[in-house]
Amino acid sequence: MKASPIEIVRSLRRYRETVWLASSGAAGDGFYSVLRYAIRFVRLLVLLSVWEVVFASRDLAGVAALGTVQTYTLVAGAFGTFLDARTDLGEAIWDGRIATWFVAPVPVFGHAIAVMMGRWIPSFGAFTLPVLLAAPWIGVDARPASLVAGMLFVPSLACSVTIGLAVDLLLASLMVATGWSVWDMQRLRTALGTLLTGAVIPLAFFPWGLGAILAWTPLAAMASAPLRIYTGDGDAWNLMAGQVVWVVVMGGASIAIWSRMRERLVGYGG
Amino acid sequence: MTMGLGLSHLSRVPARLALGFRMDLAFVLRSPALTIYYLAIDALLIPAVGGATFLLAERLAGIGPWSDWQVLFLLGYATTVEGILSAAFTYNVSHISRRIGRGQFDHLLVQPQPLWLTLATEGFAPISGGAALVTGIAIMTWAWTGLGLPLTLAWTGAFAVNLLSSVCVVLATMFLWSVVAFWAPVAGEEISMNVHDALGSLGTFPLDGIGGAMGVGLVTVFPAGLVAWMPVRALVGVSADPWGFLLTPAAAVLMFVIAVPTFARGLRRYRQTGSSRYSAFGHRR
Amino acid sequence: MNGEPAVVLTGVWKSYRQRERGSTPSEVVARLFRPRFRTIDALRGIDLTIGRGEVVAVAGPNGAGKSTTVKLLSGLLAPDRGTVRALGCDPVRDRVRFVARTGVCFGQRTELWWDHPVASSFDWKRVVWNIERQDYDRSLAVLTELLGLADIWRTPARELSLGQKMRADLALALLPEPELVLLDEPTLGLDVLAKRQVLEFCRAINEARGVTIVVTSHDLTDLEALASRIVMVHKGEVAFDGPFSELRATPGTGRRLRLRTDGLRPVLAGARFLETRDGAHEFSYDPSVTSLPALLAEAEAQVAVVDVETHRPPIDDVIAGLYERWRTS
Repeated sequence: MKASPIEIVRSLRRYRETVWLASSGAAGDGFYSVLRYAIRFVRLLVLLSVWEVVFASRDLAGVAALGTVQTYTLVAGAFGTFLDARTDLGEAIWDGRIATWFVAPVPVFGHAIAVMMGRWIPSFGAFTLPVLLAAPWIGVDARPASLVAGMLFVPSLACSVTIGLAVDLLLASLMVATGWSVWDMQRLRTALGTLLTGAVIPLAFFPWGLGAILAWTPLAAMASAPLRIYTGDGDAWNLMAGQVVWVVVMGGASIAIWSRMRERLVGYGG
Repeated sequence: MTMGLGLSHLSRVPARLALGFRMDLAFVLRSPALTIYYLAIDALLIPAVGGATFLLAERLAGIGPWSDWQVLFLLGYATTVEGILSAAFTYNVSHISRRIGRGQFDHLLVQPQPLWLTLATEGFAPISGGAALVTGIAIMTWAWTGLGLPLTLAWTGAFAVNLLSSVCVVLATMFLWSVVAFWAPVAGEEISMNVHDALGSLGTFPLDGIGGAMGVGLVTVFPAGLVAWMPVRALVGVSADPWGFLLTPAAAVLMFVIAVPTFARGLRRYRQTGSSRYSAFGHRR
Repeated sequence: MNGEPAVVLTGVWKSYRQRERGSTPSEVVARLFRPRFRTIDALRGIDLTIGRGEVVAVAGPNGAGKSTTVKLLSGLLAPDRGTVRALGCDPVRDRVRFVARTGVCFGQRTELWWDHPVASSFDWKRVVWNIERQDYDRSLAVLTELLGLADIWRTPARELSLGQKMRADLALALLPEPELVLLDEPTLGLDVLAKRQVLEFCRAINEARGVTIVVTSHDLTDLEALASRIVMVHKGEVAFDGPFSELRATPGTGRRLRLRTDGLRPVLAGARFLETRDGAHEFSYDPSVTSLPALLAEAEAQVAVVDVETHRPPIDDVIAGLYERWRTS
């Protein structure tokens, strides 16, 4: 049965309320909330300086230009939260909170996504935007390689978020299937994200042809692809096409597996 | 209000550590399959944080004045520091901001021992938390054989002192930042994790050539440079500065001297305001 | 009271500053730059003395200051003004010495190690509290029998039910044979049997060892059987401090009259009708105003009375009446 316009509006309103609550909660402790962004900013500044040192000591003309790599690093830092989209689903399963999600009139994963998006709002306002605006003072050109690159970055980022959510759902399903802890799942995710997505170091800098191999993986589609599109490294349309393929594959697989895990989930937690 | 210095309780430390070992061993033996999984995850994932640096060094035949073997030693050292933290300060002892933010600090205050004793011993899980330590030592050993470093008493002593100092620096930094959670439990709950991640990821980079205020900041205010870079550049000979071996231990002492009263100040506030939040998430698990 | 009191609170004030959160986007942003706080007085000049060996229930509406009182007594909080002495110690300054002689149990908060069997948590307690082996064995034997720990001894804490966890936590708190036991909502979420076990156990250790017990709870029916004294806290002040019998005698509490009739309900001028249940009509009346014989005569003049029963009102109703009077006054 198709949802009526009123039902759609009501659904959107529910999500809007959840997004709002999550974002105001994140901003609830006033300027203390900004401290973690300060730490991220320091980390970003150091990474940018490290690239200067690397380029000063090696001839990397054949690999990349310093400016491009620094833009890549800055955008990766500014949009880091979006390039590694994670919900509270794993934690909610682990501590039993998910029981309350099941009795709410919204899909469970929809609720998790709404909470995630709510938390993004203060992150975007307190970190992403200021970093991009401060780029000239840091000595980094934050502009996209071209207008097309900038425009394609948005749908590419959307694909990245979707794949990240699919990974989230798959790991949650794995948790339920194996009984492993949420902390190990998070650590697995962080380590993979740090090393294999190209979020910290562009895949072009990986040795032994690893970068070329990893570029075909969904992990690269999460971070490397949108960042390469933004900095004009490689064929943007090819990169996007690759992301779309992974959205379909990962999205489909994660939904199918999650549906099978749902029954087991009810008896999993507290 | 004091933190209960009670140095007479020092004699209890061995018994506490033995208790932690016993509990951890029982935990491991109860579910060996799960433990092997945890150990494998730790062994692979903790070095992976610095793996990007290693891969970069391999690609570029070194970074700055560092050769790829020296970078590998740096990675092993940083992993060993992380391994000591995992083995000795688990159960959110190092991530003390979580305990504070979640209202779990009360569980520490109802124990009849000084707080320092609780914090020094409650997180001791050397078996289930020891995989990264073993991996770090293995990487360092591999790099050490590649570098052909002499294994003298002086070098070993300097290595041990610097390693423990690096651990102290990381802990002190995490505790210092965790003080925020006494004033802002919601915002501060995960701040130790943010600090730990930043120190961990930056700590595996050779920071030579980063000068000015940032360079100074990385060995003082936000001491990512003391996690591994500063001590290792002295240990593997990147720097010929004879004082290089002493900087990290000196910084560790200074940070400890700053961290203790700062944390005590936060604790005084906690005793005045209590905690309106409570979540058992992560408590003794 | 024997000797020095177990607990003495003198002129204790405790306030909390609460940050006011915005509910609309503009408010949230405005409060980032101009934070607003409100002060809540949890305790306002409380004086309280508890003798050794007493069992005292601390009750009050939500937000009255019960948990704050327990936290002050256990040394988790320092008073803003006034003094707190327990077992001759300042619970905050002499924390280590004090908590070694005190058992604290918060309902819904466990001291058990989650992934370890109950036995491991007890072993941990033995070491950290420096309990001698023979004292540990003796205490554990008593606790195991009284609280039925044998069937959960080797079960990981994560697999225990709420009632089992509470029994284990209570045993853990009592293991070092403390002189003072502080229980904050220990029966929260427990079924009737588990509640009874917990409270009977408390009575047993009080009678056997003269342990001073301070318990907060909303389950006053059970507490009435356990505690010799009730302290009612209302808006941070002691509104009542005395035995339960005195609480029942406060004006307005009255007695209950249940009449089983031929089906019809009499109208009694001297009593207030409460409800009809299972064919019996329940009234509330004040014996100082209206006598029972007068009421019965009035009822029999209207209907055929088959059975009569009088009883004290449930203590929960007495308390609810008090709360209602406080709320409206």
